[in-house]
Amino acid sequence: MQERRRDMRDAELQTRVAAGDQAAFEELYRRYAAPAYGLALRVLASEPLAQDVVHDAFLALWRAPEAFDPARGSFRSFFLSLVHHRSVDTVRREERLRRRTQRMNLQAVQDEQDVAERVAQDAWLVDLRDRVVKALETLSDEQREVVELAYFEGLTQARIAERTGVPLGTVKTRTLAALRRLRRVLEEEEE
Amino acid sequence: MNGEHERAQELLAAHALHALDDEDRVSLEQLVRDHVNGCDECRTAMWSFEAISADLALAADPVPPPSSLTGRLRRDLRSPQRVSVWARSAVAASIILVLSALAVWNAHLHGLVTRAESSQQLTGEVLDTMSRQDSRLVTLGAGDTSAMTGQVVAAYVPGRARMYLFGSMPAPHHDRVYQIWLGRQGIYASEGTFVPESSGQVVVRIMADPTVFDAVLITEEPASGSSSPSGRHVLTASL
Repeated sequence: MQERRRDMRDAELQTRVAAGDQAAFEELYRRYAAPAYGLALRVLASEPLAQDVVHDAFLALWRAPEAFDPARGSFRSFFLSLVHHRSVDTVRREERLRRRTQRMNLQAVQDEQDVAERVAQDAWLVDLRDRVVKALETLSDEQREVVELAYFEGLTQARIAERTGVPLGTVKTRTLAALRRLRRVLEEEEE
Repeated sequence: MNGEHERAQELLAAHALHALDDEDRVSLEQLVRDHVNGCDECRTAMWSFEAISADLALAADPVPPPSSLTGRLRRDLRSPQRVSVWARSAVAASIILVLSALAVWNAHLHGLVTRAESSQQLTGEVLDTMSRQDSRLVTLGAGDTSAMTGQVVAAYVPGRARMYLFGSMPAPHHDRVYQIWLGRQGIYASEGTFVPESSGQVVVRIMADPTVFDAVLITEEPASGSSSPSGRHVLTASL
């Protein structure tokens, strides 16, 4: 219920952004910049690239705010999906370059501080994050592997099959089973 | 039927994670047209998978971006918007239309024009293009006709082999279609034909580098298309 109220609040803010209200834009930025940047960093393992992705996503929001339709789903889903899509596109383009070394550097930075100390997040977003993490933990190792390789490494299913040595058909069935499981777990918790 | 559900949902799951391979993307387009559009179960699964995919973002540790990013963004917010209000509305309406119906464009694809895809794919591509600092937005003007021609914008990033046309157009005459041409020094190459949705919305992706050409042209041609722009010139612009 709290989540729905927050989604409505996001939609109100977005309506104000569409009318050119910069304060509303900054409120959405304050709320979603850390999850968006965290996601982009996780996928890209590069601070400059992650900054570009988050910058461009927020700028798109400002320049074409009508692209979000509240009737279609939450602003959170719309925006984080946009960031993810852009991140995956970028990582596939940049893949040949630098990944491993910068991933190591990034990990060193992340180990310095606890996440909870670093980010003052909205409580409902923290709660939702906990639920998503717990839902992921209900997946089998094989299911979680294909989801993580696809979502956080930006691999296509054919690449996942290559990387893991698992037949492509199995990658597909595991992916579907994983999303069905996540759907069931998250929907049950919402009720 | 169960086989179709499974096959469709397998592809929809991969699509939601942005993990589809090109071959499967073509299969998904076919299945959307033949099955998903008319199947409540698969449409529901599609929306659920996409919502779950977005929420997976939260599983990454949140990290506050550096203050330099905030400053950069604030500077860019103050810069003049390159996209007119109607153009923004047009792309939004076009995207929303595609999303709400998961429409498969009524396009006759004998060239490189691709059908519109589902939500994040198209949203991401068009918005990405529009938001890039180096993107170009060109408004097409009326061709050789005084009839209502609609409003269409071409959006592209120089050096990337793709361009988007979006906006709205009236339906072509009976048994006619619109055909897209890219021209260089008066020589035109077809990029495919299309018919706008019943609402008039148009979103088309062209897989070509527009910087190689000096003009974009939309003509009205017979349903089978033409080998050269012989029909009425509806909209055009210099690139």
